[in-house]
Amino acid sequence: MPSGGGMPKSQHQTLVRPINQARQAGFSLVELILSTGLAAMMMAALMASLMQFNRHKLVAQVVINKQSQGQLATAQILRDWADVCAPGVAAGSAELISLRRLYKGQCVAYSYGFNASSYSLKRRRASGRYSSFLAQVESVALYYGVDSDGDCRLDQWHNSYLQGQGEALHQVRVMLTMRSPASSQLRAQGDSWLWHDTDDVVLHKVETIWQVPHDCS
Amino acid sequence: MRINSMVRSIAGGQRGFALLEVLLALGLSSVMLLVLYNAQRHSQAVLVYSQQLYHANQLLLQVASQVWAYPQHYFLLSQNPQAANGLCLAGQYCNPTAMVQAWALYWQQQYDQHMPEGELNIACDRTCAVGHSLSIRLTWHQPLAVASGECLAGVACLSLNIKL
Repeated sequence: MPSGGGMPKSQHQTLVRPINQARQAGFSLVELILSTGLAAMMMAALMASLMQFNRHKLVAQVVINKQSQGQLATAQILRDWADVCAPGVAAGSAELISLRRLYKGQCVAYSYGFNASSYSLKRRRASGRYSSFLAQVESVALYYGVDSDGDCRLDQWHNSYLQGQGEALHQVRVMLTMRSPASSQLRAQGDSWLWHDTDDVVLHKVETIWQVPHDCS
Repeated sequence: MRINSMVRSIAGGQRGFALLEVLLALGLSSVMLLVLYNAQRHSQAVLVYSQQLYHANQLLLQVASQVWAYPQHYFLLSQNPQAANGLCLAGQYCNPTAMVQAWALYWQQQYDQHMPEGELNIACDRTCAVGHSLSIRLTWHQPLAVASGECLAGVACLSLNIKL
């Protein structure tokens, strides 16, 4: 037993020798190049897959948003106008419509119009103030389907309407262009969607037809 | 004793992976990536299908509104609208036949845009009389669609039944 409590000399030598002498049998150069090349290909595929996954996630968000926006807009308009009461639609233009609908059991005048600065469809009760009715609206186009010859058949579509002009209003066609916020990454990648000129929003059309109660119905 | 075993393990050889092992690992990774890629493709196809269903739903509601508006002419909605006058929907006075054809053309353009091989069918239950039901059906080619009812696999169907 050596003095000082250290390692015996013979044991120390056996520890050092095998390390120095061990054969480092790793890759040969060909193997290294081959496996690096394959690994690079795998990494490229993995990166492409991850990028594709990210893009798919962004696309899915926009698609779901578009669908929910469209359904909500349609439901909100048709639900609100379902309570229309006589004499119904008083007047209308491409971006504004005035009608009477029930409010707390009374027939009250309502106006709906497009507010370009806030990108919304606004609503006003009687002579009150306008409040937002539908958000994220880029543009509105209203068309009025009328019976102009009194045969109870819709025969003309106008972009304006005024009650008492000898035409019976049968339908209102509501064409909305909605704004759906989307990542600028998607815009950079390019796709078939219609993008706003300046904002990172996808524009999509929502169309619905409101059946106006009339004498022939 | 512990030192001896450590020495053996170091001296046992720094052999790394064999090429076969590397290839095997890369092969397995490739399979995994392929599975991931296929899952994504399927997910994208589902997304397209959901968009088509959304558009089809919107279209069917519009068709239904015109069926109510033209109770004697709605059968023209499912016919080929080659002679349609697009101006009927843009201010021009049109008789019911022309108006229905104009709508048919408009919708055909819509489902041509979103639904491959789209086709609109309007059929009555036995007879088109008051009290009977009318079925408005939109079909289009969609590989993900499964067979159900009268629809074959690979053909998506969406129908709306209304009572006359």
